Amino acid sequence: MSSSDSLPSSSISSTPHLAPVKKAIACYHANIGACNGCDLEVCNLFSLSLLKKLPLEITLVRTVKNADVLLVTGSLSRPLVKRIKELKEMLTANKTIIAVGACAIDGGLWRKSYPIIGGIDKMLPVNYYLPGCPPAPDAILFCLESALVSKKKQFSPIIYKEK
Amino acid sequence: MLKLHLISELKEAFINLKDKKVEAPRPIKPPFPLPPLYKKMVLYEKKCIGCGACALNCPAQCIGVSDNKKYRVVEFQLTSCIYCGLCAEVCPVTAISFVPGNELPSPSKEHLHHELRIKLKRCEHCREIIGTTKVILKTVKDLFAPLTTRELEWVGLCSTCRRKLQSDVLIRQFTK
Repeated sequence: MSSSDSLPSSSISSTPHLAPVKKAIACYHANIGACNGCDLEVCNLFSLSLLKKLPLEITLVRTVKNADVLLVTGSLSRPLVKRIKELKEMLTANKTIIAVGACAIDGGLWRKSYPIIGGIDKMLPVNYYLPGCPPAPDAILFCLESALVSKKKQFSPIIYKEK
Repeated sequence: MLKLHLISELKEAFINLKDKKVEAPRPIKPPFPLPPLYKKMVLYEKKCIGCGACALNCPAQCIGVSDNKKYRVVEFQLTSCIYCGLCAEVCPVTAISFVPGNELPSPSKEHLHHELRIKLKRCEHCREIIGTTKVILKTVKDLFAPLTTRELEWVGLCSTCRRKLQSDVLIRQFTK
């Protein structure tokens, strides 16, 4: 990856250049009852990856078997519990699961309604949580970087007490 | 009838020929460089006065305000935040601001959580909660005219106590 490949002064190219990854990161996109907001942003990211102007190499995969990363969007709803159990059976070790969007973390805006149980971490072992409604494609790229390559740029909470 | 139909079609064709092209030139290119997104939340914890305006305006209801014995606890649950920026617009002291950037991920759910504790002010007579000390100081400061020494005594009291004391003073004046 040379510097000429990246875009000048774009928000995506502002990410620091990393050591070249040998294999492209294979992602599997699982929609569990999302409103298609997060899905559009994921699609935007992969359409940008087709232009080959990203600091990371990413590819979409059609099966869970070949994937390294699972991008899960949407909140956990009652009618879809059966399907998620099927997805859980297909999972093997060494797969990082990323909860994309507020709905996947906590139920988001629908967390108080009846058919939603909560976040997907009640069923699947989630490694990384990415907030936002929907998170920008840059944010998903940052999350993939921090989860797999650099392990930096993480959220730091503030706990303050007035004296 | 057929002829009328043909005439109307010809008229439309003439109009279209006269006008200029509206469509963009093809192939369409993506708009680079991309505009920045204001989605990085910055919290200045020492500025916060604990008025609770952000909690009232949050559409996702992810900001919670509750009173302790000593402190007012303001909680930002960023797990369900939608990064709309309404809290930053409403804040009177600009303790919250959104800067160009992205949402940051975290490996644990409990970390997506800010917590601020701000001291409460109690009534000097009945020990009931009035508000936070910072809110009272700000309201006194923002008044168009400075308060007199007697008026400053009322600041430390709740509304019911103020009314009672005022009525007592009036009764004393009239009875004499």
